[in-house]
Amino acid sequence: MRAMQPYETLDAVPAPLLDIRDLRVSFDTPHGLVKAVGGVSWSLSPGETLGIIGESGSGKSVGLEAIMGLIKSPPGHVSGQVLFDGRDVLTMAERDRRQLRGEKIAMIFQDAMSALNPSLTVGTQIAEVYRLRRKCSQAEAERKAIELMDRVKIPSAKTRVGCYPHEFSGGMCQRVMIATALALNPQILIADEPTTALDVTVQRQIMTLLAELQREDGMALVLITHDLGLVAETVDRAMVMYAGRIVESGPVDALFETPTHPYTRGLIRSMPRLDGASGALHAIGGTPPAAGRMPRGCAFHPRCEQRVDRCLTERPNLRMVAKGQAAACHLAEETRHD
Amino acid sequence: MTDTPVFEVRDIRKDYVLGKPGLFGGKLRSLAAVRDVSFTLRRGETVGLVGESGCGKSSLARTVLRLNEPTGGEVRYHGRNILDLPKAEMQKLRRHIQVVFQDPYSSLDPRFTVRRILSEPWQVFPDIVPPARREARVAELLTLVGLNPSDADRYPHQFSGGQRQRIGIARALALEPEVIVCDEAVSALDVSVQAQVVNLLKDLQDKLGLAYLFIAHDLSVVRHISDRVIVMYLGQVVEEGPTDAVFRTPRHPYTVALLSAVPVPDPKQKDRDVIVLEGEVPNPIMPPSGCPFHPRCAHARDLCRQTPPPVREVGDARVRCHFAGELEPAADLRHLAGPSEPGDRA
Ligand SMILES: Nc1ncnc2c1ncn2[C@@H]1O[C@H](COP(=O)(O)OP(=O)(O)OP(=O)(O)O)[C@@H](O)[C@H]1O
Ligand SMILES: Nc1ncnc2c1ncn2[C@@H]1O[C@H](COP(=O)(O)OP(=O)(O)OP(=O)(O)O)[C@@H](O)[C@H]1O
Ligand code: SF4
Ligand code: SF4
Ligand SMILES: [Mg+2]
Ligand SMILES: [Mg+2]
Repeated sequence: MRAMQPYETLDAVPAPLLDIRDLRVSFDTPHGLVKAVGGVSWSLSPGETLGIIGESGSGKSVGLEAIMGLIKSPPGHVSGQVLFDGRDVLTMAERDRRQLRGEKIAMIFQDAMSALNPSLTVGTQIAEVYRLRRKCSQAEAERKAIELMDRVKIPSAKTRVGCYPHEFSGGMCQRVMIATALALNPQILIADEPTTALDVTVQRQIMTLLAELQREDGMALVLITHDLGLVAETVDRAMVMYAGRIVESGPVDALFETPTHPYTRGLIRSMPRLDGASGALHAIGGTPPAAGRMPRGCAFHPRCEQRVDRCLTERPNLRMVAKGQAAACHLAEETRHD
Repeated sequence: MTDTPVFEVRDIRKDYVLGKPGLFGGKLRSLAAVRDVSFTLRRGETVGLVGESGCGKSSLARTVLRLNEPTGGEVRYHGRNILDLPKAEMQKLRRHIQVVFQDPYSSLDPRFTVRRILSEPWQVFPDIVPPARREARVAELLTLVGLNPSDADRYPHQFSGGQRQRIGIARALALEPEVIVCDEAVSALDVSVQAQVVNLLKDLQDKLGLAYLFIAHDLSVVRHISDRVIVMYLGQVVEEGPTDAVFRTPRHPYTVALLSAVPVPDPKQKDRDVIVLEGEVPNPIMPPSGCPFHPRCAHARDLCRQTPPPVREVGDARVRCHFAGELEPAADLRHLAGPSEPGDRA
């Protein structure tokens, strides 16, 4: 399972484009050190779609911002390796890293409306990087911006290229972010909840566009989302995060069919149903650990209905439980087919 | 349980004047974001509001709350037209009408701790929570939304997207309002936390008779929480009715397309047939003639291109389509009958 042990390849796969090894991120705060990401390893091949799901606050965004070299230090501390084409992004000079960002790896941020600059027109923001990198004229940059706005289905792009973000709806801002990320044809697109502000028809158009870019240019996609329907329909492989770690990973069909970690199972059971069954929704009992106070042993143990003594003291490692599927739970084998 | 109208909205309209004149320096353009929308929200009721991104949902919400000045129409709060209320009066009303904004980050002051963000409104309305209870109430509110009491000392930028969204929800609850407008209020939450928050909203509604205007793109949440649903397209309401009726027998072709496109959390249904909305994305600056949906509607006929459709009553629903009730939905909507149980096959 590559998500677990990047060194060991079970299936014959192309060399990874991105290889993350034991990535850790923590923050200094007035109340002590907060560990946001506690050692994750995974890799990504060209053209692949990797989904990341999991608890709100489990380190999904922080982990990906670290990969992009965007965690400010202090207060942040990042360790581990992020290998792109064999070079470690974390130790390279900021100049090289900036070159990589945008050109090779692009990111769509979670909070589209606050990630945009309120005092620049959307057209300028979409084409700015393109204009600087490709050294083209204003007029050509504007043409590019309009073309990209059309691609992400913003209506009347030509008339609205000169609008400011506050004149756009939430979903239109999100599409501006997507257009910006696509401007330079990146090899890897990291998309942090890219479609939360989009209705399902526009979401489908955007996902189709991304799939096209993957097919045509071999772009790899990392998709963070809470939308399990979107995960089921678009990704090949998914990782489930809880309290800063990967607790389960595997092919998406397996995750839905035989979810193994109790957290994954609780998550799947919590989905509201489309058929409108009424009554209270199922939610996992208890609360996630407070920042800076990670429980000993298995981080999920205070909320786990099947915990045993050993869970309180011994941390379970991610290990293979079936072909391609790995879980970090002491009882993974025993409880798998419940 | 649903009786007195809390909000009555009649023919509300919102036009925006676009800042920059056209490329050729011509006249200012205006954009009709909300076009003659009417609806009623009763005590203890949840009205779901769905529709295409950019169709005017947030604009409608902001206009009803007078965060935007409407271009026309009427908004009655307990029978009183609030559009003529002087500013000071309106300010007093605000404690009863809260909003959870679509963008959690920009609505939280980055300089303040969560404690201050949650307790600030109590300075303005001190009778809600007596000073001696405030510390405990902050802890309670944080726990209710699945955060930890120790989070009170942290600043907005130290939280994840979903955690910030929950701070926004806690802030809305702090004032013990009568109405909450939730604009994509649970979209950044994992499904378990989302379930917790949705259950909380429903509990409060049962206990206190809260009313919600619930804007969301997640149709399964909308189906779960709403008593009635409003579907908007290009600034207009195209379908409105009891939630079950709209989800079981959608009548407007746009509603059918929307429901058909919901992603289903079951990898086996990946290759299901989905209506793809072809044609130009609608331009709100120059809406199409006749029925605004006609360029993308599989059922469009000449009448649709020429004459705007009236609202027709079909069963319990109100539908803005010339042929409402006469069309067979051209879509596979079997997924609305529910995903196969995950995890129950070994
Ligand atoms: N600057 C910071 N200082 C201290 N703690 C931080 C900081 N930034 C993030 N955190 C904490 O790190 C953890 C991980 O945050 P992250 O944003 O990665 O979560 P996430 O998985 O993306 O959640 P969501 O689904 O809600 O977006 C959270 O508990 C958050 O409170
Ligand atoms: N301040 C403004 N000035 C000019 N146009 C605006 C302004 N605010 C919104 N608009 C336009 O009004 C239309 C409706 O926007 P609104 O934000 O209400 O959409 P929405 O339905 O909430 O969409 P989303 O689901 O993407 O959030 C859009 O075309 C938008 O660009
Ligand atoms: S290791 Fe123990 S506490 Fe953790 S998920 Fe497995 S059974 Fe539950
Ligand atoms: S009025 Fe005509 S174009 Fe409009 S939705 Fe009905 S059938 Fe389609
Ligand atoms: Mg996040
Ligand atoms: Mg909106």
